[in-house]
Amino acid sequence: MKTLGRDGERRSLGWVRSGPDAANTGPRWKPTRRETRADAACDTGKADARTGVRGLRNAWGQGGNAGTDAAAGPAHFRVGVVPLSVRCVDVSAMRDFRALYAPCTLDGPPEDAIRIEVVRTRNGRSLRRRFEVWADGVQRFTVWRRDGVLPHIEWAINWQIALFLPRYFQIHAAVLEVNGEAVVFPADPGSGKTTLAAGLLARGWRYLSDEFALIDPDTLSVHPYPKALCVKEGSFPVLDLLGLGPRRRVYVKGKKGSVTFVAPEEFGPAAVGGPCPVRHILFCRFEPGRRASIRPISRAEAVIRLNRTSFNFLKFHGRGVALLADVTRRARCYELVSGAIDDTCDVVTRAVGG
Amino acid sequence: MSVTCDACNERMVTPDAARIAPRRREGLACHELDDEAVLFDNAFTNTYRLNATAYRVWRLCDGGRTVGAIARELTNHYAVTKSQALADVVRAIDEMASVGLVVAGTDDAT
Repeated sequence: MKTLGRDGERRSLGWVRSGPDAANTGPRWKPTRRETRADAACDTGKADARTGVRGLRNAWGQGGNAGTDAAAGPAHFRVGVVPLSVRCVDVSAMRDFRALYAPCTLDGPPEDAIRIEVVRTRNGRSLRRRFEVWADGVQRFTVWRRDGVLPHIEWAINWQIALFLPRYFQIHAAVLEVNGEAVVFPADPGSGKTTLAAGLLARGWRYLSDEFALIDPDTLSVHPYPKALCVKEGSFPVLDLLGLGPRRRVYVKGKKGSVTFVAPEEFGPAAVGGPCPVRHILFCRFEPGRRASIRPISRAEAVIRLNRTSFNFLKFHGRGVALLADVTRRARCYELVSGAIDDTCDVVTRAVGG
Repeated sequence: MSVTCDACNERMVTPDAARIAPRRREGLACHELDDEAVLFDNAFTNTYRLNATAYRVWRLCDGGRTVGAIARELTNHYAVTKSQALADVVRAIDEMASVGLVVAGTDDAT
């Protein structure tokens, strides 16, 4: 026996399982979900534009080692404009996911949902047990630890959005709403977008996303994808400062290290905003120990920087630059160097007038 | 149009530079933003930002004006000497030509 996860439950590592998810394990030599998919692909031999493998949609709900337990899903959600169906063999991760996205729950499967499935398999050589995270029929991640499942579900969803949500022009950015206007914070990973979003949410701003600015090319409004805020270990003290409690569940997101998730509703029942026009664009960069500062930049520079942080610029061909130019014409653009959270929030609030 | 001096590593305007009449390459999408511009090259999916001066130079590259004429026009708008303006225009057009934003011709051709 060995303790897995951080919930203190003792689980067996053997095939004969004990504990609440025992029913998910399934018969010893039952084909894995991966094998089921491979068979389906071989049967039809045709590629599908969205799933990659034709027939996998039909395989949803038929077989696989997560197919028999209601606790494992599938559960259906609409997170802002993103429809999701999630099934996860690990009921503890599934339970956490349901809790984080409870306000987004649907009764039935939404149309064109991103389909995430977590199955359990064994390494072919070592027989070590592992989780595989599949997204729309494609294996995205192999996860060896139970406490790594939930972050990789989130990661797989983000991956699918970047690849397969063509309707929106996508920028890697946190987005918040204040006074009915969107403030976009484009940045590279690790630049403090999520931490800044948490700080501003605590000041009453409303949340659209900590990962994607989804811009409608027709209206130029940014649409919400209010995923749970994924806070990295370095920012855990900020959560304490914001009164979000020290006893949060911690997960492991591969090489990115420990993370925790904060549902936007933890900041208040009306913390999630709706579609709104972009009025401010702040390119942020975190420099620990520095005083927060902000400087205006030209719109042309903003277009070039937005282009660099876009996930699907090339899919829009020449239209992408025109769209970014139109967005920036209606917005004020800045470069923000962020430091301590309170100081940074003060600087941003003064610049934006929130 | 310009060469780099081996001794001082600075660009020197070649004698025939002022007679070249560059023109904007076709197929570029130009988005004017305040006094700057963003150019998108659809053929290579490259995006370029021109600051106010470079954008003015690029707009003047109509195939009819020589580099010397463009430099003279700039001296009407900016407080620079003719020689400094010529050197800067040559450098700007060199850079634009190297990434395909302008193509060169000579006033003989026009």
